[in-house]
Amino acid sequence: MATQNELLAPMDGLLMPLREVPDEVFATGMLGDGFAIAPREDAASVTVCAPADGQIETVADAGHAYTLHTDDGLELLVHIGIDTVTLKGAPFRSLVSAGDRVRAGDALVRADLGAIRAADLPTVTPVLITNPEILSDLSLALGEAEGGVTAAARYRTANREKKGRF
Amino acid sequence: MREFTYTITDAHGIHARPAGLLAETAKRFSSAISVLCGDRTADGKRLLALMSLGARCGDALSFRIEGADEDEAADALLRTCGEVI
Repeated sequence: MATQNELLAPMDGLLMPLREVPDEVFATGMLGDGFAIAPREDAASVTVCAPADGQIETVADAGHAYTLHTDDGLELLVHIGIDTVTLKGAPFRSLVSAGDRVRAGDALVRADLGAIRAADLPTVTPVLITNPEILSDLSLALGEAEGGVTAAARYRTANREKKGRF
Repeated sequence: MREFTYTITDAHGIHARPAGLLAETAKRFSSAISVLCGDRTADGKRLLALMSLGARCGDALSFRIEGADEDEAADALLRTCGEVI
């Protein structure tokens, strides 16, 4: 039995397809399937929240990337901005640690968008499903979104248990 | 089984992009691929697992590759290591 679920937008902003991310590795889907969100241009900072219920698997040393194992088996990567690892944590105040349980909409990190822009880096934030092989269906929303409220993606997962018997 | 060790020279260690590129290379092969760093072991085909190694610049990664295409996988992974970490 397949189940349908959704991922929430991780911040206020504009949802866009991955291919519009100004970085080839993300845009080509090499790291996984998913979507991206551009924070509002007039926002000086933003709270980034969990797209789904699950457990935090890693928090990058630089505070710019969060991975989450969702309760329904997705492996998610929320990557705030592009090349922001080079900022060594300065714009980011992490609010979670590896191992924490989170609910969809819970705050993960506070990001100083002004500091990212000042470094001349994009603030667009990809949200990737890094194990897309478990999806049987994925549909994405586009346009304005409210962080922690708007469904950015709806998906179904293939029945892994059934497959495992073969 | 094929094994090799690679010492990370990228200043930022295994962050999201290199983890993803390594996993993407690993997924192309049927061989089982594990990556060891200190006392941690990761499935080389999982981006999240590779990131959770917490591997930093200067750390040595040990790759263990076992399966029908282990030679090709080892060559490809070593090449990817050189390009991304």
